[in-house]
Amino acid sequence: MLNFKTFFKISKKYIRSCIIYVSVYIVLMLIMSSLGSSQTTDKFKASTVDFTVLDEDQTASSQALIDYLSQKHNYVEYEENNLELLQDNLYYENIQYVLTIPEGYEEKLLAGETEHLVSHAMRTDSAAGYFFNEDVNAYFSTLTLYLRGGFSLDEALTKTASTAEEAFSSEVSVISFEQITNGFSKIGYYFQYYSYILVTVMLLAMAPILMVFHKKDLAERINCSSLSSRKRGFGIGLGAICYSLLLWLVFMVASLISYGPGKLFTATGFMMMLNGLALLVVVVSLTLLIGSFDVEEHGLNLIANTIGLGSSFICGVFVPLWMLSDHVIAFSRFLPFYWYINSNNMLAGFTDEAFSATKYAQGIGIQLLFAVAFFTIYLVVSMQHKRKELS
Amino acid sequence: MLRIIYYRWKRLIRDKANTFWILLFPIILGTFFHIAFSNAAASENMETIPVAVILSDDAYGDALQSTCDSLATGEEPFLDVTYCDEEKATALLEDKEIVGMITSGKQVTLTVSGNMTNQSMMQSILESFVNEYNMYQTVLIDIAENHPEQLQTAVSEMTNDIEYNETASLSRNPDQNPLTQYFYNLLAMTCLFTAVGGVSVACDNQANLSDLAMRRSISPTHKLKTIVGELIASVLYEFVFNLVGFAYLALVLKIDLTSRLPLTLLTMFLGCAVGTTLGFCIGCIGRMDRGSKQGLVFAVTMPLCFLSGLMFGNMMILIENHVPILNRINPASLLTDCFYRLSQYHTLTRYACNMITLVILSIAFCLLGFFMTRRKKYAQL
Repeated sequence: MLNFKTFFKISKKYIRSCIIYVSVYIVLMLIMSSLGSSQTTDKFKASTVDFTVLDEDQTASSQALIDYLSQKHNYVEYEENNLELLQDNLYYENIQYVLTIPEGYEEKLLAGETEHLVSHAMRTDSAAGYFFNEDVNAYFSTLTLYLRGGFSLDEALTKTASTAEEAFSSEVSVISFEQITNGFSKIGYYFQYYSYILVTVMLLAMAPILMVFHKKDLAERINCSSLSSRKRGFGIGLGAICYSLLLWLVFMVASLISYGPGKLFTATGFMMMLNGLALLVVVVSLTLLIGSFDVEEHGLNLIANTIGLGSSFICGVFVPLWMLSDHVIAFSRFLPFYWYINSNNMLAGFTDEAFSATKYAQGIGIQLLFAVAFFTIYLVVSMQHKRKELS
Repeated sequence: MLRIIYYRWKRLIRDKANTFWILLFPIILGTFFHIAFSNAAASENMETIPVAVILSDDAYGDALQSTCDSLATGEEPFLDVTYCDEEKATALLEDKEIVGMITSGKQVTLTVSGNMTNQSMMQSILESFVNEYNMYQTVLIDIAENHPEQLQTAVSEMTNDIEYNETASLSRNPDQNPLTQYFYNLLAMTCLFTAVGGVSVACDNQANLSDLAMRRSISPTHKLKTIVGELIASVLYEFVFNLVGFAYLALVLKIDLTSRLPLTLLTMFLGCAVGTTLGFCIGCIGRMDRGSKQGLVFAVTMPLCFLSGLMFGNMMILIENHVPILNRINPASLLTDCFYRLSQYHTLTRYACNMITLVILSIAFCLLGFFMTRRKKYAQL
């Protein structure tokens, strides 16, 4: 127990930075989960796009086009149309689409020229812009058909407007077959970001304590004591487990305070917690492994951030798993975080697949296997360290 | 002064572990980002959408059937159609075998499932298809009623693929992958992480924290001179190593970062300056030991990076719409914004504003730190 006590004595020395990390990251985690859940309320809805028009033509025809688009979308008018302002507004998503109606638009229509009647700018990552494009195209196709069909421009404009009104008025019906389990989405996101936060905080807060044991002088002093190496390892290991359990408890209490026992103490909530506990075991063994190297504080910070951020990006924490390509997924299967996120997605209802107990158990099992693997490497590394120290 | 810079450099380079990690950090993370976002281009490929079509026994039904048939053929068809009755279609929808069911009529209607949130894109594509179809149907009926002689011309017009609406992007570099944003964030983060170097400068000048500082405290060199010299050395050192990371991102991963290269490099340099001085300022606070101060630096810089959109691409937009002032003073956001503007904007007014803010921030951090360390006396060490 000597080493166990020493562990906590050292941890007392690091308590200040630990508190800083834990509190900052918990705040981050809570912000992230509320952001995450607000982003995915995109259940099917007709998307309304905020757009603006640079009307250089100022004719009845151009006005008709604006009126048509305003039926379904939201027309934003700016007093002054300078390029940087528009670009800023596009970037900050105040508007998603800028349509330019060039001078001579009506004349072109009258002359029967239909190519490149208007031009547009939008964010390249904007799906809404794509659908807006479709609406613009539908307008011109219809208008052209009316014109070719022998109607005059005025008639064609009125008819297109009424046709569009009719088409837009038929709403898409949505049937829901099962209760949507989005009630868990907030807490689901909490546990999703928990993966990133846990790795980072554990590496930042616990690895320095472990590294103290590997400082040359202290390691040599411990080695020449009568304490058997098994006892020593046991003491440190127990310390690490208790310490990490304490951290885990802090995270759980934080989620309890933010989401209430009604959400956390449910079957799904418990399964999420258990999944989180499995990840904790993985992270503890990973921390033991990294802690057995003598790295400077600065280096450790960079390692923690590299592992935390890197794994989060390719294992579906920040970028949802379905957005990743199959090659990336094939690679991330070799990381424990993937299995954690996979189970969490299933529990929180982020994917369409139904909950399956076998898959859940499989996810936990694989995580534990990773823990065993990391722990084995840790043992090998520490044995080698010892050999080096003795020689 | 030159001597101070030289010795600082020597000390920095001798710290091999740190040098290694500073060098490797952007390279590893950049690679991870690159891997994670490699799918972005692939996802734009159109996939075939499975639908069920419920036909009525009239001309509307026939028209819809012929349209759907033509859309379901070809190498990469738009639709994968199952013709069935409503009951079967509902069952298919419940089993998530299809994305939507389309019912023919004077106005074609679309029904989708509320449980297929991951398919919202396909659902929207279907909606847009149905809208367009309805408009065409109405037009053709209208023409057939009023100008039947023109119907043939009109129908042949439909097959013409005309680009009515051309793309005219407002930005300098319209083809840029929107995910490049994450790499701007990464650059901003590596710049801000130089703060750790600033902490070292601060600690090396506080006699209660290091032996070196004890020695320095009794030397006659002016403290400001030492600190400024060391900060310059530190900024230069970190800048050079960040350049290596930058070169890796730009040349090896081929991320589009090199437009207006001189200005981009200037921004990075200023970023390192802001980072280092921020670290120096934090390092001068209170009597915490080196480890705690380094921890504090990360606890400050990580949230700053988070607010600039490192983990959520939309973060800056959200902040701009709620607390815009935060985007004007957060160095990580300023740097990200600078990189973005350099690549996308024709005019650089805001870029200049951002850069001036960064200079002001560096000077402010520097002065603040200096006021905290000056005239410190130690009764006993």
